Amino acid sequence: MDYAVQFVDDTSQYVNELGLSLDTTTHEQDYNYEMMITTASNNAQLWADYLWTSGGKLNLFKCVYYAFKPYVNSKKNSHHIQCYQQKCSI
Amino acid sequence: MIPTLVIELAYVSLIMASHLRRWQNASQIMLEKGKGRGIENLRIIQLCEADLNFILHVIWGHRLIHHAHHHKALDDAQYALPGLTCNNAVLNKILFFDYSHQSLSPRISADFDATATFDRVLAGLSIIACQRVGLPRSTGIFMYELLKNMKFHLITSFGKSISSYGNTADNKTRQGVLQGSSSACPIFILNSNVSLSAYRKQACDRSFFPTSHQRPGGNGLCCPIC
Repeated sequence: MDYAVQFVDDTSQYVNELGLSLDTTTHEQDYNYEMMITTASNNAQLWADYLWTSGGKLNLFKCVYYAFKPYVNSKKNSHHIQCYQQKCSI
Repeated sequence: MIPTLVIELAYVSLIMASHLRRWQNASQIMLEKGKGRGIENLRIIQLCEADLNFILHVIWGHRLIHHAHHHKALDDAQYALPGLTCNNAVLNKILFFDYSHQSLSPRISADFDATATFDRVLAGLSIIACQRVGLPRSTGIFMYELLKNMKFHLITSFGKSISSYGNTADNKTRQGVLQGSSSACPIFILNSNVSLSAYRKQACDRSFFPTSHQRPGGNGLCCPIC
């Protein structure tokens, strides 16, 4: 598994809490879901800048992100996942 | 006799960084994408001379990509390489989701798509990116001069257009690497490889890592998996 996957011009970037916990600027107990969103946003902006520098441009209508947040239902003693999907606006 | 002549011609052209005048003409054909017949839903493919396309395929599509791949000059995040398929990229994504699902950890996956990719690549910058992985200087100049002097004709059901347009009309930054030719995809891959390498250094520490691996070091490599 890698931090990003690219097939010609289609790119996927991944961020998760485990990666944040290993970040040199972040302590393990400090990271949270909002920080992960911020990190993913910064990474997306970084990629958009690099692409722009080489002449390219993101097609924002085809750029989406998926955020998954698992939680435990203590009453039913079961695991669930909240999923958010939204188009990017960089 | 004829194949030998074509190969000799290609050899001389690449060594001398010069091209034939007929190679400067490319035809543009507009194909339907399957989204309807609106003009905004058409894909433009540029067709060049057959022997030119053969040269571009041999140098960029075969030798340069294999050379870069053999010497591990390409980023591991790029999956449009010899021996890999698009299924490998999808499998990587599935593994990421499966791992995060099993470990119940929040995760974000962002998918990006570029606009008119091959038509926006900066020609001069991409040639330098190709030289970075071993393209000879004379061959790079050959490609740059070819792109600079290229003239594009439009082909419709009415026939081939008399007038044309090209990059020599103004002094603006030249973009596009002849979409539809055998060299367009390799050039873009090598061009974006620079961006991927920079992105790895800047953003990798905040990206995905399995729990069992050590903290990334300062040697440019992130972890044994990366």
